[in-house]
Amino acid sequence: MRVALTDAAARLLGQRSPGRISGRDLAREAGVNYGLIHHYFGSKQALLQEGLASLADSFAAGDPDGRWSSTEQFSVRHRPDYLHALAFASLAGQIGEVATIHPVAEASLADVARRRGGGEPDRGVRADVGLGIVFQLGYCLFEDLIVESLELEGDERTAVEERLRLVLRAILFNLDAGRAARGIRDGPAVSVRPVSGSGEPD
Amino acid sequence: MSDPVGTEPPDRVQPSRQALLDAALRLLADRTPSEISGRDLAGEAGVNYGLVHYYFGSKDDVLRAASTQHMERLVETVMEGGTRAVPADAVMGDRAVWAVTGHMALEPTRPLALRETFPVIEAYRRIVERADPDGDPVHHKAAIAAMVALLVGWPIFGPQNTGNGGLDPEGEGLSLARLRDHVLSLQVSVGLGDAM
Repeated sequence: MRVALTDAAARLLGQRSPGRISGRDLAREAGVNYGLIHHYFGSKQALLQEGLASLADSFAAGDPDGRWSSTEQFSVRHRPDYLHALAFASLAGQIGEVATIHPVAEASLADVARRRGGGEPDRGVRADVGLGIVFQLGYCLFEDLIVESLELEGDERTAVEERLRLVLRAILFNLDAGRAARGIRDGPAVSVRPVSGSGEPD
Repeated sequence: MSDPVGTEPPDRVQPSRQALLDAALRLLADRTPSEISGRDLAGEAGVNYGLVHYYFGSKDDVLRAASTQHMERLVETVMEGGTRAVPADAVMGDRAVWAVTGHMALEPTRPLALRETFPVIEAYRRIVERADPDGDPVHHKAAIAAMVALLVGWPIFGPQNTGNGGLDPEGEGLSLARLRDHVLSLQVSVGLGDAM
C-alpha cells in the first residue's frame, strides 16, 4: 500500500504541478483508500516529497539494463518522467524542500572537484555544477523543439550533440563555451589548479 | 444579444477575443494545456463560455493562438523583432513569461498547443546566418541550441537548482554570472558581438 502510494505520487508528479495533485487523485491512482495517505505519510505533501525522492533515486540508479547511467551527460533525457516532475516542481517553486537532484548532483560535484584539482568543491565548482545541471535540464526539456526548429537529423544531429557535450564540459570546468561550440576542446582553464596524473577533464 | 455576430461593433467584440488569449497565457503560466478547460478560459477571461467556440472553435485553438502570440511577442520584445540575440538579462525577467513556454513543452499531447517550431530559434537562425554567412552550420546550430537551453532553462530550473536547491546556498548569483559569460561567448562565437 505504501509503495503503491509512492509509485502513484511519482507517476502523477510527472504529469502535473504538485499543487494540482489532490489527495483523492493520489488515492485513486494508487487504488487505495484515501485515509491511508495520512496513515502512512502524515500529509499529502510528505507523500509527494517521497514520490519525487523515489523518482530521483530510480534515476540515479540508471537504466536497469545498463544502457545508460545517470552520470552520463544529458542522461535525464532517458527519464522524461523525472525531467517533467522536476520541471513541474521547479515551476511551482516547490523543489527546494526535497533533495531531488542530490544523488546525481553530489556525484557530479565530487567528480568535477576531483578533475579540477581535488579537495572539497569550492563555490566556483558548485556554481558550475549547478549551471551544468540547469543546462542539461533545459536542453532535455526543450530537446524536441530545438531539434525540430534547427532541423537536426542524421549525422548533423550527432555532430551538434557532440558539440553540446563539449559545451557542457566547458560549463562544468568554466572554460570558453563559444570555443566549445566550435568544436575546440580546451584544456583546463588557467584558474584551475593543475594536478598531476589524470587532471585533464574529459 | 447572446449572438455576437454583427450585433456588436468590432471594438466591443475584439476585447473578448483578446481577453480569452490573455486568460490563456495566465493559465498556461500555472499548468499545461490539457489541464485547462474551455470553462476555465471563459471564467478567467470573464466572458461567456460560448465565446470560446465563437471566436476560436475549441479551447485547443485558443491555447494554440495564445502560444503563437506569446512566442511572437517574445521575438518582438526580447529579440527586438528578431534583430538581436536574447540578452542574458532576459532570464531575470518576468518568470511567468518563461513558465508559459515551460508548460507548453511539458504538454504530454504535444501537437495540441505547440507549434512545430520555436520562433525564438528561427529568429536566431536568421540573425546568425546574417552575422556569419560563411560559418559552419554545426557550430551555428550547437551555439543556438546551447544558448536556448541556458536562456530558457534558467528561469525554470536555475534558481531551484543552484540557489534554493542546496547545491550552493550562496551560489545562485555566481551561477548566473557564469551563465552570462557563457551566453556571451556563444554569441560572440557566431558573430553576434558583445554589444547587445
